[in-house]
Amino acid sequence: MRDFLSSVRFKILVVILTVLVGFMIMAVYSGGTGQLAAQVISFVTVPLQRVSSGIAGSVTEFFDRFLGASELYDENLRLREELSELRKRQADYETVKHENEQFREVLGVMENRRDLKMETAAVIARDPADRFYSFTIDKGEMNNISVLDPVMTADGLVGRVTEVGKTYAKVVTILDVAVDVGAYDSATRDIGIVSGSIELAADGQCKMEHLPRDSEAKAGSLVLTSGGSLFPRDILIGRVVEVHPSVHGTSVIATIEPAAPIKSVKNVFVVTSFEGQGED
Amino acid sequence: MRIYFSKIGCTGMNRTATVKFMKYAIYALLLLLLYILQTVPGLFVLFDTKPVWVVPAAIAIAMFEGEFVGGIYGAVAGLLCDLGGFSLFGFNGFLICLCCILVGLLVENLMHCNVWSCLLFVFVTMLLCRSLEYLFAFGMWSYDAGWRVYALDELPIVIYSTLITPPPYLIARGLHRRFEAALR
Repeated sequence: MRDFLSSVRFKILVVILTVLVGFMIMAVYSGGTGQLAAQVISFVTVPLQRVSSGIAGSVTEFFDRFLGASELYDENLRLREELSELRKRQADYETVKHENEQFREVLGVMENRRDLKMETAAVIARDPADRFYSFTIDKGEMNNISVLDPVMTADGLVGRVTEVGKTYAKVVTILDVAVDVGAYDSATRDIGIVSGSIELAADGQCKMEHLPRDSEAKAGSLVLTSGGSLFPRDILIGRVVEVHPSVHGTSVIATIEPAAPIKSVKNVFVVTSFEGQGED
Repeated sequence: MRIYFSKIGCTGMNRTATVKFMKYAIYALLLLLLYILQTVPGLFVLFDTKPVWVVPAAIAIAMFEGEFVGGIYGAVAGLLCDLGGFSLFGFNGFLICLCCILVGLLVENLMHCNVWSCLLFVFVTMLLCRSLEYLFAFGMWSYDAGWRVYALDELPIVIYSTLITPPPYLIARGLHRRFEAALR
């Protein structure tokens, strides 16, 4: 042991450990831009991950047809219940009409968003240790993607870019407790903040906080982004599942079911430019 | 392996250096392959938990190759975890490098080099990494129900990663034995 402590090998290892501490300090200051070491490693790993995720995706899809039979059965039962619920709702024509108007509004918004510049990307890696379903995509700086760019699918908002390398970018989802999105309820126009929750993330849900105490937000209404410098306006986030008062009773909290399938998303759009981006 | 080297005409010091280079290159390739496996979306998912493959491999390499080589591969494995993960770049690199150095020293001075020791080392290393990650990312910030992350996400990863230790251990042992035989 004493020999080891006085050896050259020990000194080299101390240097390596010091360099690793240096990486950590640089990571704090780089604010989400991939470091040189990360860029070098990613040049080797990203193409391999792209191929492997493609192969794994095809294989998984094939076996899911058989392995997922029981899930499909459950889903079928659930959908039947939902259908029965929807039939009950038909009785109330005005409610249905109102919901229909909401859907038309959202669809119109999605079709008319000419101000959004988007880059398509594929999910190539998911961190085994991440509990908020964050992922890595196969596009980076070389495709004009930068830190804080919003990420979405055709269904709705997924999250935002948190780190960018030359050929990859890391995305944190709206299920993450570190992500806050300004949002409004499409039915009541009440505004709030959508953010992740440790308890809800396991079920693939998030919450909308700071709704006014007298808010009439209710289950079923749609939640969209309110816009600003970080996210474009009127991007669908999800649907309200449940509404309850906050602990102190000063506001209302809504549980949101994201519109995008965040847990299983395979392809996304990165919004590289939108009206109002970066403005304070 | 020996026949292969005699065929390509390697002798003496030249041959030793070639065998060592090949050994280290194959270890690096093994880590890279396991990293790809651990990050492929949907692969090896059990109850919403994925295992970390590179840590058992780095620990096994440290057990067979000693603290110096182990420390270097530990740093590489940790940096791969940082690259695919969302913690501070270098965080896992530092911890796993340190753990691999200690593993190398422990195996050299105190403990047996077998699969049970490897399971113990992987468990302790993963527990340390995940606990510190939890502490810095959640524990210090008093999130609601933060304990759930530790109990329902971090600990299952530690256990799952420990359970998948034998394959990387056996691969590392096989490679080590073959290359040692070639060197002799």
